[in-house]
Amino acid sequence: MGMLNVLVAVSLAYVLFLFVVAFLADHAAARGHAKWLQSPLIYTLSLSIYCTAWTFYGAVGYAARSGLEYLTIYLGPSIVMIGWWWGLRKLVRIGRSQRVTSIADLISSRFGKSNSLAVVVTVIAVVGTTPYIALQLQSVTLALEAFAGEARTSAGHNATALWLAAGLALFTVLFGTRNLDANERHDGVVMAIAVEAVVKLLALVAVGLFVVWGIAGGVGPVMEMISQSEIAVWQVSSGRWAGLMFLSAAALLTLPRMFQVLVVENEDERHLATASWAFPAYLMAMSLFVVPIAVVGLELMPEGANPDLFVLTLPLSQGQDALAMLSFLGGFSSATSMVIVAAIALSTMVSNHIVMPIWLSSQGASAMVAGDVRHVVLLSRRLSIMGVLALGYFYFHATGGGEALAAIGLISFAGVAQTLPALLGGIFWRGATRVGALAGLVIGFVIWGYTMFMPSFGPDVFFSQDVLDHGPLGLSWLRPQALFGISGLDPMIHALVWSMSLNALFFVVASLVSFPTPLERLQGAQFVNVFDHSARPGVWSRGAAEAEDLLVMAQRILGPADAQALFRSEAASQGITGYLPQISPEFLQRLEREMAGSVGAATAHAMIGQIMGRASVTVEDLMAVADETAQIMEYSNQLEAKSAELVHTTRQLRAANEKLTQISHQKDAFLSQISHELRTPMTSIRAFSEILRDGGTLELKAQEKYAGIIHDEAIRLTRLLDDLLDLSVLENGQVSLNMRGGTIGSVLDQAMAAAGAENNPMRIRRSGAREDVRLYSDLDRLAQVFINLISNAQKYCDAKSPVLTISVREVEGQLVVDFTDNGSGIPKASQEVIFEKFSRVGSDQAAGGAGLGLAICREIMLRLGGQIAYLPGQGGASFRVILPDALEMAAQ
Amino acid sequence: MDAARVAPVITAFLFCFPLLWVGREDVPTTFAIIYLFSVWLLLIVGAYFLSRRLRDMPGRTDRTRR
Repeated sequence: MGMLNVLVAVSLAYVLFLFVVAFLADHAAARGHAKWLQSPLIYTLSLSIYCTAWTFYGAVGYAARSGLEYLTIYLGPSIVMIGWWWGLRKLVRIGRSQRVTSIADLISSRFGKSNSLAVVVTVIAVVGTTPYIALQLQSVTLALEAFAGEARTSAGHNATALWLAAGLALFTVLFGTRNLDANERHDGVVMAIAVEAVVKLLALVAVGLFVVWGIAGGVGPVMEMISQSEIAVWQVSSGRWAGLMFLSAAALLTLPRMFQVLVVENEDERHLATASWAFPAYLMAMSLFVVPIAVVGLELMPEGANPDLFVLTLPLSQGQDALAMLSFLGGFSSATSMVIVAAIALSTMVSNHIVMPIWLSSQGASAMVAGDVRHVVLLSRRLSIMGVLALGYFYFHATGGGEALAAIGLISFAGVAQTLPALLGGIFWRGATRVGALAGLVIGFVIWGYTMFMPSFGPDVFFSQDVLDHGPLGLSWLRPQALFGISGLDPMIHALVWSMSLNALFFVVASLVSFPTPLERLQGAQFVNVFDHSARPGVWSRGAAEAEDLLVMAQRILGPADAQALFRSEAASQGITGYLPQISPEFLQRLEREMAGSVGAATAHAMIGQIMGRASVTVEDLMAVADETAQIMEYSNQLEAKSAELVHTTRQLRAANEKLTQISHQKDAFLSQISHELRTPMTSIRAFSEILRDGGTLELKAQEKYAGIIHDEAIRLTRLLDDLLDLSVLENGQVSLNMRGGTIGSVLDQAMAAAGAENNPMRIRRSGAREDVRLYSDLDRLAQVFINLISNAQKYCDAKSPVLTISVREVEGQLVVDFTDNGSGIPKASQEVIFEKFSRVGSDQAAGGAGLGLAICREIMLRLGGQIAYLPGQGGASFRVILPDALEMAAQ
Repeated sequence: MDAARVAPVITAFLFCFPLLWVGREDVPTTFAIIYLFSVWLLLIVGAYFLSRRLRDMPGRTDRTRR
């Protein structure tokens, strides 16, 4: 009995030590000295809660009974960890970006923040985990009794478990509910767990070393003993080997406590990289000495000794009390760390998905009224922790800590593994729907309960022996351990195969048949493509809510300081001073996510929904969810259109640029031309006026001649300026036309008279009667054109007996007047430029024109709605004047 | 990265390999222990080097914003 007292004292001291560690870690984290607390090593060690007392004590028992099969429990998680890149990384990313608080929260969040799903997952988790907690209580109790060396009364038995449960509840409440935001790490708890992980590893390895070298005498003899033992030959059922490996792999992902440390407490995704090799290494170290301990135990311990306790009883039997104490502490650590984290994880789920929704709905619309919701949340969480531990204790009490508990580990695994299809389907398959997840979970859970959980209590607890043997109501195909008449399977494999396959089948089929809500689609896209878009599009439409209402609510959940900081930073990012930002959908998303860290996604969604009135999914949100192919196609179409537009614009720009360059050249040419044209007459005027001024001795005749030249040049200048003015007026379109009716003949008569055709050697041939065509136009301007053409012919026609033929015709309703002379015509190279300003054919200055005549003609014809063009190939210079509208006008 | 994707498949295969011995009477447990633990150790070492490569990969632009 003295031994027991020492043990109790050591245990209490150890617990106190854990309290101090947790307290210091929390303290350090609060002061921001938590760098080393958040190292990948601590993360990896915290994962070791996978190894519970079931591992610590049970693995040896397992090995003693079934050989190497126990290894599957560690090989499965190793596969998952080594494949972290594939699945865990995504899970952790989603957990962080969505502020997930538990596995129930993740699944509910993925499937449209459905609380009913969360409730189902929570129930599964509680039902699956409670026996497991009971198992931990039992193992510690058994270990204590082994130490005491006597079978104690069942009252003392229960009292130990009760004290243990109460102590664990206290620890968990103290360190597990300090932070409300589950996304903040429970630094104290994690640190304590890490310490416990080291202790249990050390303990097991120490016992292993003692057994191998202290008792057996080295590796060789141990191998020899193994070969001699009952488990000498490789004997595993292939179904169990693969099935258990799958089950333990699934459990690593779906056990609430594993999800808590893997995803929720994860500080940095890169820690996963370290854990991917370090955690399998830890598992390997934990399982390395299991077989030697089992074999040596079988050899040395008396017949009928419980192999589950070899780890403890072997050192005890050898008189190694200190080692046995360490071993006890190892088992104690395994049990307590598991219970603490499981209690935290379960209480978060129960509180967020069951207690809070009930509380909120009982408060009705008054959820906005004053009162700190945080207290309610914390209280509900603390009560949930106590509730979970109480459940575990009652379970232990009810089953009397019998042998039935030994199998509970795998049963528990299989229970929580029912969430695997919904979990994996949720993060890898966008087509998965809420209805599918619900159907799969419920059917899986029911089958698991029927084929595995309830029969595990043995006959006459849930099922009578008759039901087990012949099925309910004599329906033999419903026998719990031989569904649909398939008997002869291992019961565990039987239950696993049926529950998982039907679960997955219902999940897939119901997902395919049902139609997801917009919110589900949105969440689905965000979960499945979490690496593509980490930010999520807005879901809340701007409602009638005031920022103040939101602040009031947020303060009650996040706490005044945090809520105000959040609102202030948002306001600052919007460029507003003060605490009340614009209620943008983005802000609501952020707020909801922050709150989800405290009360879970579904509750946070519901609370904001209460204030905002309704959640809506905008068309843009849905567009964002639209199939990527469509998005990519849309995008490439847009790109194509854009590039086509660019090409078009470039072409236009280039054309415009060319035109501008041309115009600039024209302008330069025009300027130099005009200065030249002005300069020539000015030069001669100046020269002759200087002669007149200086040369007083000039004869009168010479004087007259010079004055005449000056006069001519002045006239030429005037004419040039008149022409320029005329051209400028015409080009600017400022000319006012003096429209009137008349015949083309009379206009030609007028033009010939003005051009001085009477006195010119050039003979002019006309069309006679055909000229008697009435037209309506600006006849004076038209005459100006004709004068120009006639005088040009007079000037430039180089024939010996010059003849100008003026022919008037009607072609397709247009009046066409051709002026054709019999000279040598205009060279082809010049034909294109004769209508340009200052262009003159050849170098003849003799004619005295400035080269503006034809340019003016062209402008006039343009104004009159007609055109003038050079007509090549007529045996001389030939100009065609076309007047399209003139005839019609005249007819009116 | 592709190696990381294949890793769990290889691991699962190697761990399931002992299933081929089922039904044979001449495979001693000691051999199975040695096989399983050496494969395990090998995979851990492999995962260690793999994780170093992956952790230092430049493609970390997709980190979550907070």
